[in-house]
This record gives sequence, C-alpha cells and structure tokens, in this order.
Amino acid sequence: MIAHSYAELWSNTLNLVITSILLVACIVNNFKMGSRGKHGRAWICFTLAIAMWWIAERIWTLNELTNTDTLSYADLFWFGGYGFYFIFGVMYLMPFASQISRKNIMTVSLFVLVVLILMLYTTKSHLVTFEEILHISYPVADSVMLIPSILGIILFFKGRIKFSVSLFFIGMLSFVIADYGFMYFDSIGEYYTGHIVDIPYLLAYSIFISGIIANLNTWNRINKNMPFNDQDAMR
Amino acid sequence: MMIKRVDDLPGVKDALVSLSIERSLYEISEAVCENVGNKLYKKYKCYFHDCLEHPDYLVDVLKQVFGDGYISIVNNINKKLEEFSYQDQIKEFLLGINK
Repeated sequence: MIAHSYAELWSNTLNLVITSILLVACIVNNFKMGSRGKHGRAWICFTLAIAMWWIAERIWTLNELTNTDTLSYADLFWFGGYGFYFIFGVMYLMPFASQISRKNIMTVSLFVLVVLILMLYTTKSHLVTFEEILHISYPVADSVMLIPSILGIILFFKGRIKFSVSLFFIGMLSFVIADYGFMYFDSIGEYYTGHIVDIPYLLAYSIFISGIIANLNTWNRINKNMPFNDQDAMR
Repeated sequence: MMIKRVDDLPGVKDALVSLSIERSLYEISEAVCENVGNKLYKKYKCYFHDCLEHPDYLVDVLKQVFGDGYISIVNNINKKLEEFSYQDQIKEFLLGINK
C-alpha cells in the first residue's frame, strides 16, 4: 500500500515536471519556427495538442488527489489533443507526401484496424454505458494516431526523414502503447496511478521533448548576420 | 524587328529558379528556407539564384538537410519550373537537380 502511494506521488510529480517542460519547449519552438508554411502550422497544432494534454493531465491528477471517480472534462481535453496531434502528423508529413504511396497508407490502415480489433477483443469491450463508449473511444483515437505515426517511422527507415523528425512519431507510438496498456489493466481492475504502464506515457512526453530540442537544433536561425539574410539590402 | 520574350531577358531565369526554390522551401517553413539558404551560402558562397549555374550545390545542401527526403523538395521545384523547361538553361538546371 505504501509502495502504491509512493508510486502515485512520483508518477504525478514526474508527470507535472515532464509535461510542463514539454509545453514550454513547444512554445519556444513556435517562436523560433514561425507560423508560416506547412511545418509552421503543424508546430502550432502540436503545441495546442500538448497544451490540451497538459490540462487533461492536471484535471486527471486533481481527480486522483480528491478521489473523484466521475467523468470529467479531462476526456474532452484528451480528445481535443488527439485531434490537433493528428493534424500535426498529417501537415508535418505533407511535404514528403510524394514519398508515401497509397499502398503504404492502405497497408498501415489495415494493420492498425487489426490491432484495434485485437485490443477490443482482449479487453472484452461493450458499448452499453456512456462510460464504456468513452473508454472504447480512446483506443479508436489511438489507432487513428497510429496511422501518421507508423507512416512517419516507415519514412525514417527508408531514409526519407531524419531521426529527429521521427522522434515525434516514435513518441506517439509510445503514447499509444501506454494507452492500450492502461485500457487493458483498467479493464481487469489492476490499474492505479503510478502503475508500470504509466512509464511509456512519461517516456512518450520525454521523447517529444527530445524531438523539440533536436528540431530547434536542426532549424537553428540564430545567425541573423549571415549574408544570406541580407539579400534584400543587396538587391 | 525581333521581339524578345520576357523570360529571355537577362536575370529572369535566375530569378525564376530562385523564386521556385524559395517558394518550395517556404511552403515547408520560413526556418527551413533560411536554414537551406544559410547552408548554401556558408558552404558554396552561393545564393538561390546562383543555383541555375550550380544545381549540384543545391542538391548537396538539400541532401545534407533532408537526407533522402530531398527528393520531395526536388519534385516540388520540378512542378514549379516545368512550364519553363523549354528554355535550355532551365532544362539543364532541372536535369541537374534530378540526376
């Protein structure tokens, strides 16, 4: 029991620290990258997704600390975050669209559908109460997120995108694994805050932080004195 | 009297190439465009408009930045310039970046 309360404390604290660092890093990244172009807009969507998940995590923690067991607004923010992440994934991959074939999209979608059916079968999900429908919505949303993520990882293994870019998709993969794990342990009544299945969540957020730092390093715009940036004056 | 086409005027082809490269990169993001431009200048002392003469410089920098994903950018530049490909210099540039 004491171990559980320690696990809960550490899980909540680490979650707060890691997600807050991620949110700050995302905002800095937005300022550095600007809002123009497909990637500029993609980064705004990514920050919105992270901001929504940050709020959802805080509501979840508050519910845990106050032992509130009812449905909360956290779910609304989780799903909002998923929506923005999906737009981010699609917009980020758009410049590389010519590298993604329809066959790839179909194969990945089929694979994701099989994983989803297996997951729903394993957890013996039913669509009776609103709460059950809500619980099933998570793996469905996760599966949708898996599509751009797997496509991104395939592009990385084909050498079409750099490792730093693939981190965002690897992070999402970790997030989805965590969600599937949460759903399974919750369905058998063994989940508690600080459960080992929380680790992939924290790992996902940490991978996102690494991705943002790598992105900032890759597209460094610090040297404003480079003659390239002075072209207007030279004309 | 022989009438000169606008795209035959000196500097127009360089501008066309420069514009299509810049637009292709800007479509990704401002930071990407600046980064590629800076790398091009740092390594070859060359601007986008000089790439008409040196398509290999552009390909090298794009490869350095995007890895094999540079093909997507090249495809985008191709689309923007294909209507001018009847011009020998532009055609050579396109052949150069598609090597």
